[in-house]
Amino acid sequence: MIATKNDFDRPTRRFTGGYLLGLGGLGLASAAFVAACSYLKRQHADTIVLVGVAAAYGLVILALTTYCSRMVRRAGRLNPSAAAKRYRMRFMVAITVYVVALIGSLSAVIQYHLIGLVAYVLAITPALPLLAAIASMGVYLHEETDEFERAMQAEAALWASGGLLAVETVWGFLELFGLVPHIQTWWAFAIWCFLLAPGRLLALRRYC
Amino acid sequence: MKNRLKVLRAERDWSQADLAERLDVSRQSVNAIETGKYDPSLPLAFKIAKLFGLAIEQIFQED
Repeated sequence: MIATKNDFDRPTRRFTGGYLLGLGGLGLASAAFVAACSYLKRQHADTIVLVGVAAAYGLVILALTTYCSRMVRRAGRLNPSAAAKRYRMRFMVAITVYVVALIGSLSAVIQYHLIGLVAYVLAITPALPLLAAIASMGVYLHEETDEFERAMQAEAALWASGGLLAVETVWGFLELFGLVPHIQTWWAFAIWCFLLAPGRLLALRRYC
Repeated sequence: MKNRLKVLRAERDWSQADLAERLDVSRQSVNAIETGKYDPSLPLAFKIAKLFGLAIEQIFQED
């Protein structure tokens, strides 16, 4: 056995904990958001209350994502590449714009009872920053000069895509038989993002 | 694929981070290559060989 200094260890408990905390936190926050929305809808709450709940949800997601990614980086003693830093910045900007666009569009459509072309444009507006977030992932894979990091990210994306297809397929049939409520398709991106974290963890466990 | 990266690194008293910095890759990449869990691409293998002043086959061998 050759002794060398500062060898990289397997992912630590803290490292895995960071991912699981992020995943669990996002799941809980999303479930609380959906429950709060459905409760407020039944209570015919004011638009401003709905907007406030959506804003709080957005802030929780941003704070949780930032905290957990920091925790994972520190625990794994990772030094992100320049491309990874740019990707994170682009992604966070896109998600922030998405939250603002969603709140703005929703409140405008509900407040002013907009219909027709304006309603279509406002409905698509929140999707645009999400498309930018998806594109930023592609740009990252193109810009990343560390081939191992690129391979790991690509593998995590494959795990997430497989997981999403599995979830959607099973849910679709459960829905067909009237056993679960309908889920709107925009959830696909959120679910895929949730699955990226365990996907990356699986990739890391295999290689480290 | 087996490799002598750990030996070569130890001879120079380099940490994985030192080697990673010289190769412009992450420490995780060096760890994965060193432990034989990830096979580097040909360009990276050439870069490693050049850094140690050896031929690729003197560093990497088939299992």
